[in-house]
Amino acid sequence: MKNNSIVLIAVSIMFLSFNLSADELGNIGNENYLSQMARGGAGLLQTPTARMSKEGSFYINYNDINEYRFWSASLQLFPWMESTVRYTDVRTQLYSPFEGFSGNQTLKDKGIDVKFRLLEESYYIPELSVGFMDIGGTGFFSSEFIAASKGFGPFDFHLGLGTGYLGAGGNVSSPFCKLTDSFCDRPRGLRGEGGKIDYNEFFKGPTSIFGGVEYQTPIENLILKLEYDGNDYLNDRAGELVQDNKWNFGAVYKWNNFDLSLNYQRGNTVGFGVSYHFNMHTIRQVQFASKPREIISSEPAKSMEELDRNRLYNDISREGAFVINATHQDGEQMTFYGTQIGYRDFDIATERVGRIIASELPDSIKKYRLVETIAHTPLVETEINADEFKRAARYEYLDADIKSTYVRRDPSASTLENYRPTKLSGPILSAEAFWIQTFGSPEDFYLYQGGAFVNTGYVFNPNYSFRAGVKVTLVENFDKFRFLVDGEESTLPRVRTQIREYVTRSNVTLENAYLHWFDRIAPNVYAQAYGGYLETMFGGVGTEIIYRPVDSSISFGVDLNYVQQRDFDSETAFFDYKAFTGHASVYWRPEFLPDMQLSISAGQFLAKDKGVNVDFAKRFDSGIIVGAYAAFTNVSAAEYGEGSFTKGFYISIPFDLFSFSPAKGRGRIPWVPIGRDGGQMLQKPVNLKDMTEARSPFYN
Amino acid sequence: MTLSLMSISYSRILITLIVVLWSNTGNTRVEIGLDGKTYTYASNPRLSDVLSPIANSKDWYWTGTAIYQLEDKSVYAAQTKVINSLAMLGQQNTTNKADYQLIIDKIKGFHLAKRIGMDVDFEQARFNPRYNPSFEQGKYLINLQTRPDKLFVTGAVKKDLELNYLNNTCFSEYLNDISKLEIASKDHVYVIQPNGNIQSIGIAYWNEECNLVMPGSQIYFPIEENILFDDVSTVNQSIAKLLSNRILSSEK
Repeated sequence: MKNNSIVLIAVSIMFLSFNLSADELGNIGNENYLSQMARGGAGLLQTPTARMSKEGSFYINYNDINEYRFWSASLQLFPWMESTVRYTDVRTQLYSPFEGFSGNQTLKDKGIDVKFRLLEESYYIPELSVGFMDIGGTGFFSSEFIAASKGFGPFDFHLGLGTGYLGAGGNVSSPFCKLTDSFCDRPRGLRGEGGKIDYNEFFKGPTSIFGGVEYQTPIENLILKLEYDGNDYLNDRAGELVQDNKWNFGAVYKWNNFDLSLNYQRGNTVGFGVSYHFNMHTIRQVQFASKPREIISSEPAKSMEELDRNRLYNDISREGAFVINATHQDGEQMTFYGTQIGYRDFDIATERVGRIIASELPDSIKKYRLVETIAHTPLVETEINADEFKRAARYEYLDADIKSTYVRRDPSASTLENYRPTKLSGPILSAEAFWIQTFGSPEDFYLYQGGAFVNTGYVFNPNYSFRAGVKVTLVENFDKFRFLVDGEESTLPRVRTQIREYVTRSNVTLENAYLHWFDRIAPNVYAQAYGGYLETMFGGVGTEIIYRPVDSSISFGVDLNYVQQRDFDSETAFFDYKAFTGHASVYWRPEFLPDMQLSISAGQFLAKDKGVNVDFAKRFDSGIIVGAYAAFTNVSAAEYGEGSFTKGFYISIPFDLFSFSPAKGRGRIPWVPIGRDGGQMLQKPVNLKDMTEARSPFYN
Repeated sequence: MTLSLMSISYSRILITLIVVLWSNTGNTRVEIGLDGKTYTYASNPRLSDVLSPIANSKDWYWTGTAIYQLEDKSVYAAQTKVINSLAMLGQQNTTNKADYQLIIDKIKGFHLAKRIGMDVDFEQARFNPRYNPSFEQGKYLINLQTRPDKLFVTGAVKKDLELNYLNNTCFSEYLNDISKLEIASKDHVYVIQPNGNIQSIGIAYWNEECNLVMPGSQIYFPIEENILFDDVSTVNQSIAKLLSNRILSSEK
């Protein structure tokens, strides 16, 4: 549950400040003039276009068109791939016919769209894209299309060929049907358990041509849209909709980071929308921090005896945000052990701390070492060539390059040997906020719970500690839950689906309490073992080992756990269900996919199903990381239930995008369309991948 | 647009500072060539020291001021590589071989030197140590000028041009005065700004917009690129990069 907690709420993204650089301004075919279609994604009104936004571009949209309301978020993940997630509210239909289940809430649905660029626009060639809509949901708007876009001065012309919802009007005979009969009819109705990509529907059934034109008016930021719709709305999820006219009209006014739109659709319906957008590559927060120390006129100590250690250590901590827990000096070398708590960019942090050291240490010291430690265990050392560093920091040559004056590496034997922190044991206490939210439940569209985790414990020595976390709920509307699900029948052990019982038991619950051992057991190898209450739903014992070379693009880990399910009616009791669960994992950053991390974990999951969990994460220049994961196990879609297989998405946002001063740390916003029992991993109280992140940072 | 109607009031003065540093019996010496004269320093000077004798003598266009490292030959290797690539493209496109040869001849005529990627500004150098580095031993050249009143056009054009710069004018206004080679891209040009930055701007019916370019910019008309193969695109980018190391004043 802790990992599912939300420390930041999505709405706060809207308050991020950022600047659009001049090169982001474009012509009608370029991003600055692009706007979103009603269901999200670059497009006209009801139909998509071939256009792609600039990589990292992120839109949050709300659109209201009489029968429908759409909330969507669209991200340009790569220059050639746009992805959109969406919640739909159908005002004309009820969530379910059972009032006791969903009251008078109207029908909600979620969906995922993807669009891939096939060709970039050039003089004779239009931009060409292929897209798939509503592939992850129950198929309200399930469509496939090929679209072309061509700019001409202030006009942008679009033409597409679509099947499914986009092609429902059937205004042309299907070219796919002419090729083979199997493409002539489209399977109708809800598909299986939903959530699966139904490849066998693609490009089948009635087909329509759609398209239109966008016009950048002489009024700056005002764009007009004209669209020819390929849908007849006869078999719409909202009921049959009257279409008086195939032509839809719209206007979009761009105001700072907002797009405001007004439109007239089907010849009889007025719609409107608002979008907020920013770019995940370029978004920045203004930061107020002292400038890195200049050392041109500094007067270092003449000798180590004259060194003012208190001043040095305090400045390193205050100006450099590097909290020292031990130092060691040996002849011409001095080593500083500690933890960087302020600057998430390694080079910025190293330069700041290095400048402070260079301004104080005598010139007789030729090597500075900064050793990043965690739980009193050295993780990585940075060795700075003092003379070269000072030459660069004093700008004694043109185009001075400080980065070339230090190297990162696995802590050497002498670095480990000389590490003698003064304070090894003592109590620990910390707190962090959490926010759990769920969209689309029968009781209410938005359910939330917020509060704090209070973490406490006692560290016995660098390797052993006792840790406990208490969850304190401060605000929630989980009291709207009308029913619990402990009686639901399932073919799988109920390892996760009783979550409602767990989160509603009390406002103060024991999240975890466990004994923990952690150590570096060999060069590049770290290990941990733990036993106790490990997470909200499970307790037991486990161990993990990770091989993680410094700055390597690949690392490996294995974890083994024997766990028993906790009783949701008690802080301490257990149910009878016991399971062995564990995975072998590989974490890989492929060279051919820059700024991406692929994590693959294969093994046995909590419900004793066997399979693999695959996680893709993409890091943008601002530090925002967007990821998706899916678990494929030996449980069939029917056994698994709604959603067909475990999948989820997340956004990880660095705190310093919200802070006026430098900060480390991140908030994670997860989105799990449907949580079931198959493909579920144990939420270990401590994850070695996270703990050793400083060795090859991705989440920095 | 008519060239003769342009009224440019900026005087254009080009001054070259040549800074020569070498080690002589253990002592470093610095020589500065300034408009035909040479100044000598006894030790490694800071940038502000080098600029101070002439810094306030004119209203210098610091944005276009560059320091070149004359002993770094890497730029000539890049020049040779680009010429070889162009020759190969010429052999593959025999009908337009003469066009490729014309571009090769132009590139051979460039006066090039390795440009140091840093901003040069006297006031910045005086007040911010980061912009006031020392010169190490070696030969350097600092190119100082007042605000230029030209744009310099080269690449896949029939004749290289110096266009009079028009204030507040979209770049597309200049296009009528430029006759491109048959192999020129219809879609975009590279603008090499006087500060060394390179950007690509659209010039075709489908991607054209109002782009204001900086005075003193070089405009490189690229060779038509192929959407399936990026070798031409690589050559174009290499040429644009080469142009950021071009010393225009010494080609006069």
